[in-house]
Amino acid sequence: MGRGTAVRRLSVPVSAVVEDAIRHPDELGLEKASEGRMVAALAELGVALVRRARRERRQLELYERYEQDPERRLTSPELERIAREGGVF
Amino acid sequence: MPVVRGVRYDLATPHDPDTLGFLVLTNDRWNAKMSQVGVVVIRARISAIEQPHAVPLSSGGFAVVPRLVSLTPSPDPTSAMGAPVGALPAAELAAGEDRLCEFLLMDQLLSATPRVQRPAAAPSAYPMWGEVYYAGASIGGETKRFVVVSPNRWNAASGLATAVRTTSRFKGTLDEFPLITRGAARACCGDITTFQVGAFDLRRRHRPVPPTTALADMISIAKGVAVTHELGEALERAGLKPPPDSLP
Repeated sequence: MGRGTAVRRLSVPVSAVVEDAIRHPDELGLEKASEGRMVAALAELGVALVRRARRERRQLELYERYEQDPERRLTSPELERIAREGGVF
Repeated sequence: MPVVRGVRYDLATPHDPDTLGFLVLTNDRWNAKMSQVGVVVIRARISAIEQPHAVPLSSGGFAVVPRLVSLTPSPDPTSAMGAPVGALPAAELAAGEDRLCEFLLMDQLLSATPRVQRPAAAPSAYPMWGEVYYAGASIGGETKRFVVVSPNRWNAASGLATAVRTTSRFKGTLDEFPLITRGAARACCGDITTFQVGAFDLRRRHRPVPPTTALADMISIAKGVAVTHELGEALERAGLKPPPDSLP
């Protein structure tokens, strides 16, 4: 939980997976944290992971589309040839 | 098996006796999907002008960041890239990333007050930073346009220049394909590559329209390359704010 971040208290059910995780704070690197802080830390981590997964999925879709792009398929090998014949590698 | 960022690969077929291999820098999503990946050439020897932009490697040779190219990896039979040699030590990879950010002027472009000095020389003297040129042979009936991203001092002295291809056809919407030249084209940042200066058509009458970019375009291209080549940590080390997708 970031310092200075406004905090709102929520009473929410947690799943068995989360309950099990907070029983083993050493596995989370949160040995000295309260249960509430552990749940909050897990929630923040979850937000970061979901955002990252969504970004990566969008990237993968875009790259796949670019890979199929006819102009790119024609051009890329040619650029490699020019670089090689020009002595870049 | 897709190639992996941060891994050194052997040279498959010798073209230049000084080339030893390649260091992969494009992010692993790119590497998983694309038939060309972004690499830095590893050389046995470096020239005096390459020295500030090169990182000595404990596995032998120097990663020369201005020799940034897009290559087809093996098992393609025509591939210049051979087998993986091993992951670079973290410090050497970080040094390579730092040199690349400096070379591409990211410290100036991505600072809070971006500013890059453009020289007074004519853009027909050598490929100039921020200028748009046709380069290479005609492909499918048209010659491709490139924005030069390597610094002028290097371009004038080395005989090489690094550039990003542009397209008006592909509609990518993420940072990797930023709209440039007032929306007329997109830069294909993952295809950043290096050519001999002679590959660029420098003749004044043969310049594309528009022949130049705005500073905002070059900032967008720097962000795009930071994402495709995963330079976010290097930008953080330089005290700059990295684009979100540029971090590992």
